[in-house]
Amino acid sequence: MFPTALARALVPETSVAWVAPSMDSFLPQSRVTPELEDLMRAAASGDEAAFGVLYDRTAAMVFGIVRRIVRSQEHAEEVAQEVYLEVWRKARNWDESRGSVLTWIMLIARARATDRVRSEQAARDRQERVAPGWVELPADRVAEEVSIAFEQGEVRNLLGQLTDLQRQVIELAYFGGRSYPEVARMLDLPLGTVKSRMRDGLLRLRQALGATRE
Amino acid sequence: MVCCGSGKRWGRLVNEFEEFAAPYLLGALEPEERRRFEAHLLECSECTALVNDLAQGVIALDHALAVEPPAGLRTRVLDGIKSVSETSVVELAPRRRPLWRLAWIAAAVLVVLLGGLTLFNPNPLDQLMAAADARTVELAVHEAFAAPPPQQAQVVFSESEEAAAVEFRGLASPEEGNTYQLWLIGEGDPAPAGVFVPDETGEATALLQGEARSGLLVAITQEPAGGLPAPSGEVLFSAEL
Repeated sequence: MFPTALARALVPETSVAWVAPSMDSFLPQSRVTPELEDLMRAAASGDEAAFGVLYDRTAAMVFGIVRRIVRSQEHAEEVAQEVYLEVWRKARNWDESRGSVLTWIMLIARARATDRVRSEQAARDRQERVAPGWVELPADRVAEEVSIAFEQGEVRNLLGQLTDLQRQVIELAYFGGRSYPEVARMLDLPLGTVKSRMRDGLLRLRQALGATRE
Repeated sequence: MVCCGSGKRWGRLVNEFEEFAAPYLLGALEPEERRRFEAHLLECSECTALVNDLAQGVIALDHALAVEPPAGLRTRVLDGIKSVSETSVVELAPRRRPLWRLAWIAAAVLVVLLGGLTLFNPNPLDQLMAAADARTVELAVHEAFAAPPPQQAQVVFSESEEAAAVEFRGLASPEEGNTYQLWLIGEGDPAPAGVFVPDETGEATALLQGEARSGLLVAITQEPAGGLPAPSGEVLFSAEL
């Protein structure tokens, strides 16, 4: 079930092996499981074990994002490694008043993956010998990715909440790694429309999430 | 883009940056726009709140589509951070150019106040970074660049100083016996503008030799150590000033 699975990611199973005795007072008394935020604060002060737990809790989401965008397994591993190196290096810069750790890490993952894919896009398209139709191909690939993803109930539930246009713009960016100007070109829509559909779509996804949680 | 330029439209308060929040979260901004939006987020709580709100929608998808990483990745990541901890603890806090620039301006003001007492000859690179009109241009990574693309590849350019410098993070070293060479390209043949290699952490900052003017093209090739009078390698990075 979707809500259970998400709850598991956000509040994972009890594991306190990494917590040094002196850390106990640092953690909220009501919980045995450290929050991602606690782990990040510990990592910022150089705690490698806490960073390892942070990795365990986020790696599948990070790897999913990166793998989906860069597509090659080998490159995905390289990029995921860069992402965690950046998280470690910037741990002290993470500011909890500005957003959750999960949001911050996902943003870094997506940024590094899209940087990689955009600089390689042309080369890859050529490799696949699709010279005349390279604009169409990503849309086909997106369709394929989406249909694979759709086999998972959670994704079907989520994307099913969107209007056709919201779904198209989100799919092209999310599954296709396309920038919003590229999405606008591919769908022959004004830039502003693409941005506002993305926003409406994300709001719906968030609401859908809230509804399933209740 | 104007900072928090708010205005009434259809009876709703519109922040001109707001519309970038969703494409930002979906990884759909171009790198330069992403940087500007991130800079904006630091000073706009409205947009920050919107990003955090919309992020829940993206995270729902990310979670549904999580993929277990290969087992070896954890070890590589943890080994990777160990070497960072050992070599560059001082660098953990990244440079904040605006503050740094402010400090430089303060130093320059001090020097002016002391003017006449000492002959002040600032480092041209510092002078460029401190220029009020210094701006950053992203370097395009060309297909000929076979190594993984750097995490950062940009040119800092000041029209008033007629100076430019390239800045890299995560740049692969050139092949053995080679160097990266900078070129300034205008109407005529490319003019050699210096050579550089990244340090062991992949960082490099190099001032371009020659007058950097608006409209010129900065290009980087790989050439035999010491550089050549005219480029022989393919263009690896480029940007228009």
